[in-house]
Amino acid sequence: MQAKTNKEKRLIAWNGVQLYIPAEWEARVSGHRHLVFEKDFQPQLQIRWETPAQHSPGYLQKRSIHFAEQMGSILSDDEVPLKFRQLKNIFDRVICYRNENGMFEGGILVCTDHHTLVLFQIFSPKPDILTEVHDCLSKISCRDHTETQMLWRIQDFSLTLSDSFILKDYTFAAGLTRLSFFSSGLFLHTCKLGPADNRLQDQSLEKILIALADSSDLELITGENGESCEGYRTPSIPRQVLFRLRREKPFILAKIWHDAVNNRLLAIVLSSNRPISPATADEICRQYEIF
Amino acid sequence: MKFADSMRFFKRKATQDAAKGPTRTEALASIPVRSPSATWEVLENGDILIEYPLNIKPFFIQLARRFNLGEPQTPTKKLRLDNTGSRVWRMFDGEKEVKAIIRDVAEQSGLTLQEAEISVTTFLRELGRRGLILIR
Repeated sequence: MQAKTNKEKRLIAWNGVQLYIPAEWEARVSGHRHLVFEKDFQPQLQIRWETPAQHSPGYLQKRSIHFAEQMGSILSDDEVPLKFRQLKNIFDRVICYRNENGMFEGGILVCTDHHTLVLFQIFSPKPDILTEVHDCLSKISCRDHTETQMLWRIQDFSLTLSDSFILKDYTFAAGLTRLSFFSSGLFLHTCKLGPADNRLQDQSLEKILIALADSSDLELITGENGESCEGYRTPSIPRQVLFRLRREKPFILAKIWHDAVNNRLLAIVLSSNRPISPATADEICRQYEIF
Repeated sequence: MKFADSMRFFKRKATQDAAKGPTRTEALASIPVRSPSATWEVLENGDILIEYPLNIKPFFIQLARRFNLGEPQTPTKKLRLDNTGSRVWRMFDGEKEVKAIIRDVAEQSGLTLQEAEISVTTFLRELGRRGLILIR
């Protein structure tokens, strides 16, 4: 997939939604299905989306009213601003919100093919912002249920996972970005630490990996160049029982590697009740990178 | 009205007042200033050592007077900042906005803006709690 259409746009992908935003905008994750886009720390656009099980007009109406109440706006189904009318060619239904003064401030886009309902809110009525928002929304793409892979691309990292991985939790703390996923009995934590040079001054890769995996009994293998490290835990059957009694996952497979070019440490930690295939970890590592 | 009900009323009022605090945009546009009551020095390795007075509760001052212990001297506490903290402390020049500090920290530390924002705002909150900075 091409990440940049031109110099001014960059691709953001989060939990099934992909869109191109102006390069000077920052994307902030505000929820599992909620992104806020800012320019110079000023919010410009926010989007929320959901993939409802129901698609009846009654349900849609209910959700539209709910969002309108949250935003303190008035629903206006017919009067879509001229600039945003093209969205009707892409989405099955476009509903607009206006504030008390009649100013356009957001709307709902319904895509029945992808079973997705996207709410957007615009924070500035300036024409240039509206143009940028329109450009973003006209290229928004929702996850197709036939796709087997899902892209996660935000801030400075990109990760491609099987679509069976469901996002459970995320952290964007100072120097540590962590996403947690679950897929049929397998837990995955992807971690990004930075700046790597500072981290490695205080701790070795092995110690960092042990801390991330939260397990001191990992069998560690350091890479030939010292820039990577792998850790395994494959306990005997009695120890497996012990771990299960402690409500811990007996099997752990963790990897950490140093991206010297970008001064970051990238790590994945897989844990499960069953043995973990190294091929699964290798595949995830291959598709987890800093861009 | 029962006592419990009246307490609930006050709690709600306090929550409402707290909700009226500055918005994120306002907070990021504010300017942190070093508190005049805090003194600081640069150590040999470049780290910063801040000395600040501890607030004594009036109850203890009264207690000291009652037992003729005289006016208690204001005790001070020292806080040593690490490399990053020292760098941020130097940025509190009374002119730089919080968002400009965040941008500088992101550039210097190689963090993303969101990471730098969390880092700087947590640091500011901690300094504010100790009375070491004022927000303008």
